[in-house]
Amino acid sequence: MSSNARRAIFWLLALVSVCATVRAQETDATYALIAYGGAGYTRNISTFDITPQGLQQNGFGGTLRIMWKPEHLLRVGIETGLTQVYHVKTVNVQTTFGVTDFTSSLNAVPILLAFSMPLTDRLEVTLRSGGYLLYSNTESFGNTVSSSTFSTGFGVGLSYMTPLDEDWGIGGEIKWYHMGKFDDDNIMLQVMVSYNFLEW
Amino acid sequence: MNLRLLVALTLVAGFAACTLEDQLAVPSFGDSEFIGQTYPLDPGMKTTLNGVYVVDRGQDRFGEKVVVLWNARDRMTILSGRDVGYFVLQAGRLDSVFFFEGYWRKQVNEMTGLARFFIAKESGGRFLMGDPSAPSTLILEGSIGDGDGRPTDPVVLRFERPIRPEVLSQNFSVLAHRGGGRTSDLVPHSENTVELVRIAEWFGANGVEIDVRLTSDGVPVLYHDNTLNPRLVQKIPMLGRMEDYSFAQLRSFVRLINGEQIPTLDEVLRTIVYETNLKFVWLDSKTEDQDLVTRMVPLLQQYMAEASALAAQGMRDSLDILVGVPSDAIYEELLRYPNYTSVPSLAEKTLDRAQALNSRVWAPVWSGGIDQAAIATAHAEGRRVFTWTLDTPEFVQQYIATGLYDGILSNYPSIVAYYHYVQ
Repeated sequence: MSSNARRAIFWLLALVSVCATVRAQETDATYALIAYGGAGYTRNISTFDITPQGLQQNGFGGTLRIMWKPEHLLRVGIETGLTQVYHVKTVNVQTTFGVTDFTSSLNAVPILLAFSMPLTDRLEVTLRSGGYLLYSNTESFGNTVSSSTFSTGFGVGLSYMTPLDEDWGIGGEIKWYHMGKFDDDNIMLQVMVSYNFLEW
Repeated sequence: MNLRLLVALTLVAGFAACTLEDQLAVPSFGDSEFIGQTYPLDPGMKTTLNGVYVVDRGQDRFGEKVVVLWNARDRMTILSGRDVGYFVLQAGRLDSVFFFEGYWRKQVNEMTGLARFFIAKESGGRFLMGDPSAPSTLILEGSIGDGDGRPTDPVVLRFERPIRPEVLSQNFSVLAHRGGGRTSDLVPHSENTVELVRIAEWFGANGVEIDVRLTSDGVPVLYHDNTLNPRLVQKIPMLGRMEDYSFAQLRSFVRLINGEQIPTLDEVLRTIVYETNLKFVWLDSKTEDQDLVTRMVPLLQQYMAEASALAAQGMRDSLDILVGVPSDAIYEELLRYPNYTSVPSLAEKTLDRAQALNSRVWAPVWSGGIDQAAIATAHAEGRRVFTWTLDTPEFVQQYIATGLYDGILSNYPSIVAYYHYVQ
């Protein structure tokens, strides 16, 4: 993803976030902890300098988020999960060292501090900041290299949740993860379930 | 409160979204290049051009004095003491008029542009041609531009004096870090590459420091960092420790940030011996692999012998290739190497190590201060003394002025060369 496109998305979301604050603050003094679980499609939108044949940028991602809902609009929590960033499988690559198969994969576990704010009763924007644990595995010429590293990053998303009863809700979320270390960006579209598991 | 927090968060996200540009194109005259239509300069003409020049026009950009130096075989360098500025120029002549074309650069920022000079017949052209009746004056008149734009800003350089013979006779090493400079300093090629080593002399260097690691199958290659990362390599689906990959993997699938391949030590030493006149190579060991010394020493012995053979035929200057000893592990490994005192080495840290290894060079880090007694001892024992990695012009000037050091390693060799040759 180009830095211009990234900046455009950022400013759009920033505008939405700032506009949201003009809504009246809630006066409900009930505190709650809400768990969100989700799973769905993810698309890596990074641009590679050398795009390998067999690059697969579509994948699967899952999310677990716990948010503290105070009496005011801004909610805070933590988010983790597992996201396929990309994977590659190319057979019979011709090189000066002979023919080899090339496989590679990168997966991310987000460790993010999340801040969310309802725009309407059902629509919510969430900003995330923190990092990602990146796990990679590469094999070619009979040599496998596995590695893990930490990358700083952030994420933003928009979710729509419909209440099923007092505690349960269901909906969807579209979000963008940015992993800074290797300049990877993933867009995710997930089905989400929420559960209000503690209230006081 | 919410508004402030959100704005702060979004700003943090915005900063994280920014990326640094990591390439700076070398300006080119393209089709309008003129040098191809001229005759090459004789070696004697190049020697005559070397010297300290007064900047009559262009002082605001390049300071009061510059040094003209034919350091590389194919390029004339003009070294400026201001903002780590320099010119890299090709030269040619038509009759008694001399022409110079190339580019200028300031390494403290991204300023660069085309440059074009000439020496008119009566401003030094006849003198350079050896006309005994010509006045011994040399005036380089020309202009510079910005980027690929046509050169229009006038610059005039007037010969003041030759480089002092006592300076030229010193065996002083101007060492370029990582083969010529760091990738982050926007040098024309990626650091630690054949391509960069080939042009290190353009920046005033007469020696290079290069970083050596072993691949998983034991091939010595040049690469500075522990991991494949965006600072050094193009975005590819390969992460992790560089040394976990085999040579075939690195060579087949990895490209450095400017598109080059990760070179082997063998390729780089061959380039240095046969395509440059570099006089010194510092092999900085970037791994504590037990085999590194064992793999490097035969290569350096082979290429030092080949350089000696060329030097005996007058085809290049002599060449020293030394194993750097930066760590306890490499020190211990070298101590276990057969006849280790005869292995050309450069010991960092304490003088004791240089003595134990019989190192040709002792190289304490510059930030440790100037230990005059230890330097005097090293010199008395026949060792040269270098310091590293010195980039601040004021400190470079100060360290050279002491007259104690035999070489300085820098990311900006042009500034070291300027302060050395302007003495």
